[in-house]
Amino acid sequence: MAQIFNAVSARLHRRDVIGRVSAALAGSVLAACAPQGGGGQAGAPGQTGAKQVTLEFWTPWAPNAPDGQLLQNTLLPEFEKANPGLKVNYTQVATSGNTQASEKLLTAINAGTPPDVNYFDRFIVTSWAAQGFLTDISDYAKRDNFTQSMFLKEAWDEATWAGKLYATPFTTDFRMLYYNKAHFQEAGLDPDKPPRTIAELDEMAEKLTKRDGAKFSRMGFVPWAYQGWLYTWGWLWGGEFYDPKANRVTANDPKIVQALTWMVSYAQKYGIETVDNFTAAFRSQTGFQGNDQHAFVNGLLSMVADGDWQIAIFKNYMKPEQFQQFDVVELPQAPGGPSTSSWGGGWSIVLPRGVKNKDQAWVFAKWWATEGQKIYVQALTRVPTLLSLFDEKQFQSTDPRWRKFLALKDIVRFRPNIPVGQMLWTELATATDDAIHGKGTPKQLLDGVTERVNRELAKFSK
Amino acid sequence: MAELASVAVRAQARRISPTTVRNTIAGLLFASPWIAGLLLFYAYPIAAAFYFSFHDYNGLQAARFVGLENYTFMLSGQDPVFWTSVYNTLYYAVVAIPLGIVWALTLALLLNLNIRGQAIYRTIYFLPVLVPDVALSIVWVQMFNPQYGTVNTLIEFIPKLLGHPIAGPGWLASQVWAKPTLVLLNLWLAGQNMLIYLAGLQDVPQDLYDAAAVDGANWWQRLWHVTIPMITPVIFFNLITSLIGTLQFFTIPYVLTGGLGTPANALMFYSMLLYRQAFVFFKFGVASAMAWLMFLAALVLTVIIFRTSARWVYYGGETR
Repeated sequence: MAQIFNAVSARLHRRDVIGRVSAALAGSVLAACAPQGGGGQAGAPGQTGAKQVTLEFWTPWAPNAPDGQLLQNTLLPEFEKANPGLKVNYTQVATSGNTQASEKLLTAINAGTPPDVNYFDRFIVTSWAAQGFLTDISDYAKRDNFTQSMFLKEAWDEATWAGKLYATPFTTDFRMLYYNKAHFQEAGLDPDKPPRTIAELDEMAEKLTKRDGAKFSRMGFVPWAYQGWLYTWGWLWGGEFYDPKANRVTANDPKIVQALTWMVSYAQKYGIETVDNFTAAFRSQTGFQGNDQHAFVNGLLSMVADGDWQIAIFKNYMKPEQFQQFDVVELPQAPGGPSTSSWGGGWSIVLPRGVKNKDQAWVFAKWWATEGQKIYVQALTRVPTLLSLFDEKQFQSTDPRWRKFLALKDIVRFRPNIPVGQMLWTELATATDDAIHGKGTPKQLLDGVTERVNRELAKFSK
Repeated sequence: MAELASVAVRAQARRISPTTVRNTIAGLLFASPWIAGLLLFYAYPIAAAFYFSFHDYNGLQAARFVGLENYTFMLSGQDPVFWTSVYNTLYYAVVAIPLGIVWALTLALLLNLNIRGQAIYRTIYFLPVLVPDVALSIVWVQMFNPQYGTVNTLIEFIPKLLGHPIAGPGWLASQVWAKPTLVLLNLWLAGQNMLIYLAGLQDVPQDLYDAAAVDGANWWQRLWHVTIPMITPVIFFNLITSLIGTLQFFTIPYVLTGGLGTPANALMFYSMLLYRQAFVFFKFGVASAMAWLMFLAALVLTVIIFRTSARWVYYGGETR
């Protein structure tokens, strides 16, 4: 008996020892994980003396993509050079279907272990800020004279919620119609006369479409492909998604209903099952495919609504003569709509809630929106939001087709700056998908979207 | 020794022997990692989900009590995708589970035959289970691509040769074919259930077959009157686990559609909508309510199956 008792106590003792050792180990690991610099007391890096701070940076950029390459080879080294004492450790974090945000970030914020800075789709900054997921950086901006007047107004607005700043704006991007001149010639159309009205677009699309038995081997145009979101067409028809005076979402604006009805007409005219089968060649689970899989690169679509960023990508993936055989044109005029329209998106840097090195993170966010944006815009030919970069000379040597995008600067629209912007985006995408598949009429579906999103929006009005 | 004796006397007074006490303590200590895990990762989330299902909660800010609002929000169809997702999930369960049982059982019967190289066949049919769901989904997307996938290339090959080109089904890209394609995929993954049937088959006593053979029963009669009744407990087990598994179907459709349930919500399953409510719409309260509704549904269905099981599950030794 006593023996057993002794054995048990010996076991207990051993466990105790193991416990102590592992506690000690855990302590040292935790200490190693803790920020090296005294985050919080420093005004700016460089003033903190010899203490070094490593910032955690999350971005969806793949390390081998052009932006990921620029990040590693230029952006981060330049930042570290300009800010002695600051190091940046970057992690690629994938965004999820249709939200452009990451559940990983949301989970990390909830767990109190977010990265210091996160590359973030700008139109959902308001949605996340309104939920309390982001850090208010207004005081830093004020202190450092980082003001709205430096930026494209709408881009700045997207970075705010209730008069406070939650993000520093990075670049933006505009949308136009790409068309393949070789296809035009082949179909007997004048390659120098792209469609100027929606009726012309529909007609040309039919002429450009080629069938192979029961399938399509090429389609002239698919309204919902690539950047053919309901935002693209709704605004083109002259619709408004949001009424700022009434603070109401108006997704069922008759003009947006007309735009969606037009999208559905393609599904009916060409047969949605056949079109779905056809687009499956360049559509993956996460959306329409880019780079060498892009339908415009492969000649599967003759016309496509897409963004300015594709020019640089097409240059990489098209043969030189093919690269010369396309042009871009303003989106054609819709019945009763403005002569054209376009919209802009873009990204930003946010400090998640509960960020450890707040002061240093701000230094990064500010640098990224100013110096970083300058490097990025010049290297990858992208549309800036920093007004000082809209210098004609700077873009003189760029592709003239890309400069057509830049000329849209004064008419371009931005998505409503509301705390339910992310929900509205998802709802609109779902309604579009339902409509083209005949799951309800455009009016019914958009009435539903309007009602649901407004119900959520009402929760934020004081 | 005197000490021990007094302990024994005291223990005897309470009618619990010191050995039992020590064994219980030791047992609990040994089981403690599991108990801690159960409490932390099952009991706590279940309780927390119950609490938050009555609150407006975004995962970070203080929860606000809203009564039954989260439940009524979903059940009243204010999010129209809710009933679509319920339909999709039930459709999948009703079609995939019986088919899966028949398929896995058929495979198990074949793999139970005494033929050369049986171990190799068994391995081959079990292999798909070892492929991670995400990798599997990606391969599946490629194979079933209506435009350039292997499956349609094969289907379209002969008619094309004969000069009557046809277009194969749209599979995952088609709202008509999307769910049947998933059912197919489920059959491909039957290895797990197959293995359990196989174990069950090998437990069927040989003397029953011998007796049946003596009575002149053919193979079908032996299967229907001996094999199937003897393995009903195994079928029952597989039915329950498949039911719970299908109700929680998530990874494959989520990866196949990037979480969107496309086309036209044809692949929006209940768990995917739950996830969207939590992580896209920040409605952790609604998501918790959905989780509890699913739990209740699974409970009710399981109870129903248990009730009916007395009629068709045979545990041996009973007379019928």
